[in-house]
Amino acid sequence: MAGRFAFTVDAAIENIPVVADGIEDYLVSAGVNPAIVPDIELAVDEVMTNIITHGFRRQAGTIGITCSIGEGVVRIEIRDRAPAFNPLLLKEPDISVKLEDRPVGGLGIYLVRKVMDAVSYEYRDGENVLTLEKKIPE
Amino acid sequence: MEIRTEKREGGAIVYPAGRIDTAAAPALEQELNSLIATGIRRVILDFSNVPYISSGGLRVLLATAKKLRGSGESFALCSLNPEVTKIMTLAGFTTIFTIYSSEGEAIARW
Repeated sequence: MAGRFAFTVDAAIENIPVVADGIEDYLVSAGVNPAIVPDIELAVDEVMTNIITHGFRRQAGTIGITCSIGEGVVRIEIRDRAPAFNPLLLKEPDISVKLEDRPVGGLGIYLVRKVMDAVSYEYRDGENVLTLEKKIPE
Repeated sequence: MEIRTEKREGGAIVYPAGRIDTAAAPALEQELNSLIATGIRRVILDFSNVPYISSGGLRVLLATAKKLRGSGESFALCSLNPEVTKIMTLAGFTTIFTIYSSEGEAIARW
C-alpha cells in the first residue's frame, strides 16, 4: 500500500471539516483500517486549529497538508508559514483538577500527542512542519 | 453538523449529528446556551451520532457543565462511542462528567 495525497487550504476554521473529509476519503479508498481514521481527523483538527488561532492569529495564511501511507504507517505532514512555533513545547494541562478549577482550553496538542504514535516538529525553509504518524493496525 | 433538540418537562435532550470539531463547536454552544437562556436547567447530550469530539467541543462541554451545576440542575452525556469515550478519558472528563451508556438510562436518572 502506498501513495500520497497533498493539498493546500486557506487557514480558516471552516476548512477543517473539508480537510477531514479529504483525508477520510483518501484513507478509506486506500483501504486503511477505518478504526484509526477518527484519531487522525482529531489530530489534524487540533493542529489546524492551533495554526489558525495561534500561528496566524486568525489572519490570512495557508496550510499545506500531505498525507501518505507506507510501511504500515499513515504519515501526515502539516505545514504553515506563520511565525516559527513548536507546539510540542507547550506545557501539558493538568487533567486531574476538579471541574471548577479547569481552564477552558489547553487540551488540543495534548490530545494530538495521545492519539498519535509519533509527533515531531521542525522549522524548515521558513515553514513550521509538524509530522504526525499513526500505525495501521494489522 | 446538524443538531436536533427534544424538549421535555423541565429539560431537553440534544442530539448533535456529525463531528463536534472546532468548526462545529460554536453551533453546539449556541444551541446549549439558548436552551439555558430559556430557563432549561436539565440537559442530556446524546452522542449516538457523534464520531469524535475535538478540544473545541470539549471546551463547550466544560463551559456548559459550569453553567448547570446548581441544585435542581444537571448536565449529562450519553451513548458515547469508543472513540469519544477514549477522548473523554484522555482529557480526564470521565471523572468530572455524568456519563450514561444509553439515553434510556440517562432519562431514568433524571
